Amino acid sequence: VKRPAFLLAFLAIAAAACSGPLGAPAARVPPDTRPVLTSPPAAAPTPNTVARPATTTCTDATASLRPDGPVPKPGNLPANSFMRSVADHGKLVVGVSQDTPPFGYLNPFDNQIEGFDIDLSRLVARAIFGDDGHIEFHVIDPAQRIWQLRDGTVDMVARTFEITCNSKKQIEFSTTYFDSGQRLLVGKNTSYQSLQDLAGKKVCAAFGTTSLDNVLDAPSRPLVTAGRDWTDCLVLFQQGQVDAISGDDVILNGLAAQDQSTKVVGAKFFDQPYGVGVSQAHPEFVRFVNAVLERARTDGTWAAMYNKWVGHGGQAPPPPAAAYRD
Amino acid sequence: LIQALPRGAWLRQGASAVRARAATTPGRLWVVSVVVIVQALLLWVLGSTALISTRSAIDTIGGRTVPSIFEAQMIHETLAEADRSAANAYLLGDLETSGARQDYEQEMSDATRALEQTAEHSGTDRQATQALQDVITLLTQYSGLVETARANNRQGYTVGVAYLRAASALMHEPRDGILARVDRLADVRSQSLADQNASLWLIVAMLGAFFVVDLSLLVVLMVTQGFLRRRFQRRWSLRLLAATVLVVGLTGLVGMQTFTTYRSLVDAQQREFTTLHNLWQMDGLIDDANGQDSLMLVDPSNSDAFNQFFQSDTNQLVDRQLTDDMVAQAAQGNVQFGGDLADAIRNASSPPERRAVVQMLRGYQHFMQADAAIRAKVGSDHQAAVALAVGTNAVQLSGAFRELDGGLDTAIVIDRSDYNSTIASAQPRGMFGFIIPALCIAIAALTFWGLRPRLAEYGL
Repeated sequence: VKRPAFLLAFLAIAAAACSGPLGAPAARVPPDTRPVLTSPPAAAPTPNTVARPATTTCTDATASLRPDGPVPKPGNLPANSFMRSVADHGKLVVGVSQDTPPFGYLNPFDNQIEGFDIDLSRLVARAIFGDDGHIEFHVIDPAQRIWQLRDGTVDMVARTFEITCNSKKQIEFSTTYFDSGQRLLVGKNTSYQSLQDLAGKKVCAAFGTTSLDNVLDAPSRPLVTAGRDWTDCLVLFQQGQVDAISGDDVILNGLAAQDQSTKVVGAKFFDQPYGVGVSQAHPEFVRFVNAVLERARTDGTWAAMYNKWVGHGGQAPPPPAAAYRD
Repeated sequence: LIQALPRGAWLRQGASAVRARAATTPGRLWVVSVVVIVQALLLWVLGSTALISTRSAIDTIGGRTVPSIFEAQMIHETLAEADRSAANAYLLGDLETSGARQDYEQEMSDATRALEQTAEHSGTDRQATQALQDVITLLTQYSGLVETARANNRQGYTVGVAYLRAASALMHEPRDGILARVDRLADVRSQSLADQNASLWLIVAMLGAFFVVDLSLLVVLMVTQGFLRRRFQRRWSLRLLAATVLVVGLTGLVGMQTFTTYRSLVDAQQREFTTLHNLWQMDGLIDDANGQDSLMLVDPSNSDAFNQFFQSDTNQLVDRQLTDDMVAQAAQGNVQFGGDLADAIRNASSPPERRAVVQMLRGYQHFMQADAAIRAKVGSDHQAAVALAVGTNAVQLSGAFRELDGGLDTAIVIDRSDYNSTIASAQPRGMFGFIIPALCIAIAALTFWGLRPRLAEYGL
C-alpha cells in the first residue's frame, strides 16, 4: 500500500461517524413543563410582617373606571374606540384557562372550553357583535396574563385574574365580578388548617399568581413549589411531592372535586377579587366591560352564571358590588 | 568455550559463520530456502489474520452496529409517535377507542420490543446497558402518567391534561427526557461504529506488512532465479518461475480484494450510510413536528414553544413554502428549494427511490397545509382543530403524515437494502480462506523443490 488512502478513508468514516448527525438534535422539543421546587426567597419577610406585597401604592385596587352609560348597541359602538376596532376585526380574542374548573376548562367530552369566565367573555363578545361566534379563546398560563395583554396578543383576559395594586401598575381591571379568597387544599387524613401548620412542609401554588406571592411571604416559611398551573400542583400533590396546595377557594374546590382524598380547609387568609384584565391603552374598553358587568349584575345574568357554575342550584349570593374611582 | 566468550563476541562469531556459509553456493541456496519458507509462512499468517479480521469487522459493522443505530432511531420514531397518539387519544376524549388509543398501545408495545432487542444486542456494553435501563425505567413512569391522564380524562377531570403534560415533558425534555436518552443510545452506538472503524487500522497495518513481505519474496525469488542462471548456466528454473508466478497471483488476488473491500466500505459507510442517516434524521424531525400539533392542542398555553419547534423542525426539511409548481418541478429533477428533502431528491439513486421521495414531498405539502388549517382553527373552533389534527384523510394532519411517512419509509427500505448489499459486497470472498494458505505452501514447496537439485549437486 503506497499511500494511506485506505487509512484515510477509514479515518474519514470514523470521523463522520463521530461527528455526524447520529447524535440526533435534542433541542427540538418543548421546554420542560414540570414544575420546579423553589426555596423561599432570601428576602422573605420576617414573621409577623406577612402582608400584601409592600410595593402597593393604590388604596383600593378594585376601584375601576365608571361606565359611560348603558351598554351601547352593537351597531352603535363609539367611533375610534377599541370596541369598534374589535368589531371591525371580526373577533374578540380572550385569554382564558382550560384547566381551572369551574371558571375555565376544556370539557373532555365535547372539546369545548366552558366555565364562568367563558360565559362572561361571551357576554362581552355578544355586546360587541350582537351574536355568538365572534370570539377566540387563547389558553394562557397565569404567568402569561399580564404580558399577553400588554403586547396585544389578547384583547382581554378572563382567567381567575386577581385584582391587585401590583398588577394595576401594568394593566387595567374591570370591576370585581367574583369574590374569592385564598385557602388550603390538603389530604383528608391530615390535620393541617393553615399555613402556620405547614412550616417546613412543601406547599404548591401556580406560578404568576398572587397566591404564590402570599405563600412565599408566609411567616411560617413553608417550602414553596411553583406549578405552571393549578392542575400541575394537583399532580404533584397526588404524587406525594407536596403536602398542600394554596390558592383561591373556588379553584381549590374545583381541584378537590377531582380528588376525593382531598379537602379544602381553613379560613380565607387573603381576599382575591377577580376582574377582567384589559390593557391600560384602552380605558374606553374597561368602561365598556364594566357596563356589561353592571348589566349582568342587575338583569340576573350574573346570578344565573353563578348558579350554573359555582352554586349548583343553591341561592346565588348578591354579586360583588362595583367600585369606581371616577 | 562459548560460555567463556563474552556475549558480543559470540554473536559476532555466529554472524561471521553464517556469512561464511552463505558466501558458498550451497550455503546461499540453503539461506534462500529458509528465507522463502519463512516469508511464505508470514504471508500465510498475515493474509489469514487480515482476512479473518476484515470479515469480523464487516460483520460487526454491517450486522450489529449499524442495525443497532437503526434500532435506536426506530425507538425514537416509535416513542415520538406513541406520545402523539397519547395526545390524540386525549384530544378525542370519549372517542379515543376509535384508533388513537390502539395506535398508542401498539407503538408502546413496538418500542418495548425494540428496546428488548437492543438490550440483546448490547451484550456486555455497560454504557449501553445502563442507558437502556434508564430508558426502560422512564418509559414505565411515562406510561403510568399517560394512564393516569386517561383515567382522569375519562371522568372529565381536568387534571388529566396536567398528567399528559408531565408525560410529554418526560418524553421530550431536552437533556434527560426519554427521547434524549434514546438519542444518546444512538450516540453510544455511533461511538462504537467509530471505534470499529478505527480498529480497521490494524487490518490496514497487517495488509501493509503483507504486501511488504510479498514484495520482498518476489525480489528474493527473482534474485535467486538470476543467481541460478549465472552459477549453473541454466536458462530458467521452471519451479522457481512457477513460485514467482504464484506470488504475483497472490499479490493480484489480495490486491483486488483489498480494493473491492475498500471501495465497498467507502460506498457503504460514506455515501449510503450518510444517506440512510439523513433519512432517519428526517424521520425523527417529521415525527417530532407531527407531535407538536397534537401537543399544542393539548396544551395551548404553550403554543408559542410548540410552534417554534415545529418551525425549526420543518424548516430543516424544506426551507420555504412549497408550491404545486415546485413539487412538480422537483418530480422532474429540477429542485428549486433547499433543505433535507431537497437533498433527498438530489441523492435519490434509483427511480423507485425518487418516486418515494416525491411522495414524501407531496405528503409534506399536505402536512403543512393541514397544519396551517389547524392553527387557523385553534382558539375559535377547538373541536374543528382537533378533527383536523386526528383526521386521516389527505387534507387532515394524520392523513398527510401517513403519506409523508409512507414515502420516507419506502426510501429508507430502499436505501437500507442498498447499504446491506454494498456492505455484503465488502466481505472478502470465502475462497480466500483456502487460497492464501494453499498458495503460500505451494510457493514454499516449489522454491524448495526448485533448489533441491542444485543442492544435490553438492551432495547435500
